[in-house]
Amino acid sequence: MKVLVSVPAVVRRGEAFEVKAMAMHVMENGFRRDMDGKAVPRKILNHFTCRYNGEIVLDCDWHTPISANPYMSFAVKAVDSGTLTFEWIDDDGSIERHSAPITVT
Amino acid sequence: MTAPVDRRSLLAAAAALTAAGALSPAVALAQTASNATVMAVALRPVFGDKPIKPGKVQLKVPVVAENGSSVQVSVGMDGPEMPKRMVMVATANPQPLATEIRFGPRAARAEVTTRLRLARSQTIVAAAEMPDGTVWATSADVTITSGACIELGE
Repeated sequence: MKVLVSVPAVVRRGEAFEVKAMAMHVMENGFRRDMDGKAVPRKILNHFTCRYNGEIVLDCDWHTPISANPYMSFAVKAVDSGTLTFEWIDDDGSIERHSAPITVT
Repeated sequence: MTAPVDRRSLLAAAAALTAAGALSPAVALAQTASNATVMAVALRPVFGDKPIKPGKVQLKVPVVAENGSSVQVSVGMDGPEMPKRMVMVATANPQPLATEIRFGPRAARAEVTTRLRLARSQTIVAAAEMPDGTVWATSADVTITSGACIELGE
């Protein structure tokens, strides 16, 4: 799965910075039928977590009204240089992880 | 020749204006009441019988969205207070609960922007449960000109 994450390279200590994260995923909601009238099974990313040096920024449950290629942007408090990690959990149990470095001055 | 403005037509116009003015607060009140009902119904699966208070939560949705398959929605709080969790509900979707968000110690603000897939025009509800257990909520209406293909036949 392809993911797109936007994290500023350098931020000032104590400031808030914006992080954007998008995953390329169909988010099939399980309510639709295919051409033959057969139900298309549900397959969505049902969980998203962002951590900053291991501490949680936010932890979300996602349900069917979240759009395809799910996107979230949120504000993070700059504490120390390190890593932001992102984790998406799929209905099929697979987990996608991504990380981005951050420098705090 | 224009008709002279007589006392009778002036009085009628004045009465009509007054009636309209007197009506609007009643309409506004009825709307608030129905919003409270919509919010209570939408949030019952998450918060059970907890009372839902209007306010504190900010919710930004477009008034009109051309395409229901991706509608940008932002939630936030009026002040710096951090809620225990926030939820978004798309009241007219086949499964209304959209997301539950828990903020950790590294969140700078209780503020999130995301995109929803909306089946049709509807009311979006956003709620926050505070550390003291109170639940606050706000709703906003969005008109969809072309709904997301969520179920066959829509």
